[in-house]
Amino acid sequence: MAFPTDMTGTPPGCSGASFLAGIRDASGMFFGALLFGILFGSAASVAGLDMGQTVAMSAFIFAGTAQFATLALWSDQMPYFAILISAAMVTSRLTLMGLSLGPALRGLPGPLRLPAIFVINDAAWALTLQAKSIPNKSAYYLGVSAPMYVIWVAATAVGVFSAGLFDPVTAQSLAFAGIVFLSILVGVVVRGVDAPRAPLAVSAAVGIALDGVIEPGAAVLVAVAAGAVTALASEVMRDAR
Amino acid sequence: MPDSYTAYLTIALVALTVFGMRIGGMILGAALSSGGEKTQRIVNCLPGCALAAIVAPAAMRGTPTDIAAVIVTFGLYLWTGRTILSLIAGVSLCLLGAHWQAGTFG
Repeated sequence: MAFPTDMTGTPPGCSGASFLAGIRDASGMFFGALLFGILFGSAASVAGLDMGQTVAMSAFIFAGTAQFATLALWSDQMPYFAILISAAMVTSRLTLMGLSLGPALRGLPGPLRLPAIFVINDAAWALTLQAKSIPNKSAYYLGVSAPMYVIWVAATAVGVFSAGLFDPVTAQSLAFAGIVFLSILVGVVVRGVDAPRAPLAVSAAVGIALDGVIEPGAAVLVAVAAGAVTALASEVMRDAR
Repeated sequence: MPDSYTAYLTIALVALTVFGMRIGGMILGAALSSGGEKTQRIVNCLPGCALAAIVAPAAMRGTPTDIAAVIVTFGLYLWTGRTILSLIAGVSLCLLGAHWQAGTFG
């Protein structure tokens, strides 16, 4: 696959190396996608979805939180409105990631742009923003995202066959491991993304304070708003120094 | 269970919704493209805020070993920068803690 130059005018020769660097840096994240893909496949099978429906979910939605949220409302009388609102709320951070990734993906040609937007995910966002020394960020992003997509879909199919493999205690603790995985992504942001750190702590505190008080998706939006205000204040103070 | 048509229609609608969330960010990003470095730093911060707002309350709702697993994973990643090591440590702690508390350890 030939990649275009990115906004920095990087020669195309750097694209393959950037793509491979994305694969290398995301290898740990692939392990997470494998684990949670299997868990999703297993959970979907237990919920009554057949192989085609389960794999279609992963292939066409490719967002674990939205898929699990849909599964929770899966029933004979499908509550479409509740499902769509729920999916939009839990994936609101993907909008923020698309917003943040804009400059990195702007170098992609038309045919690659829509697939690249389709595979926006937490890990690809975090790794791409912290990859400061990578010459072609759009190729790097695809190096993270494309294998992640393939692994997620394949792991989902494997998960269908492994339904019932885990005892309830193991299955419940593995479900919590999704939060453990997300904590690594917060770590990636703290370690390497060029952004203020204080808003993360403020959002975490607001998230904890609102937990159980308002609907979880709304709590995240309020926490992000609080983080945005803190980020703005951080930047103003940074300018003043 | 829903019939096949209903199931695939639901999947298609959710897929469109989630893609709409993704592309919405790119469209907004194009509109803000002239915002400069300061705007980009603020924008870069927001998805991390969303992740922090998901992880922190979920961790606090967990058992003591779940909380410990999140702290160990986050701390280990900050210290080493190694994803697999951090993930294995955290997931192992979750599993061991859950089985210990359920009395099914070993």
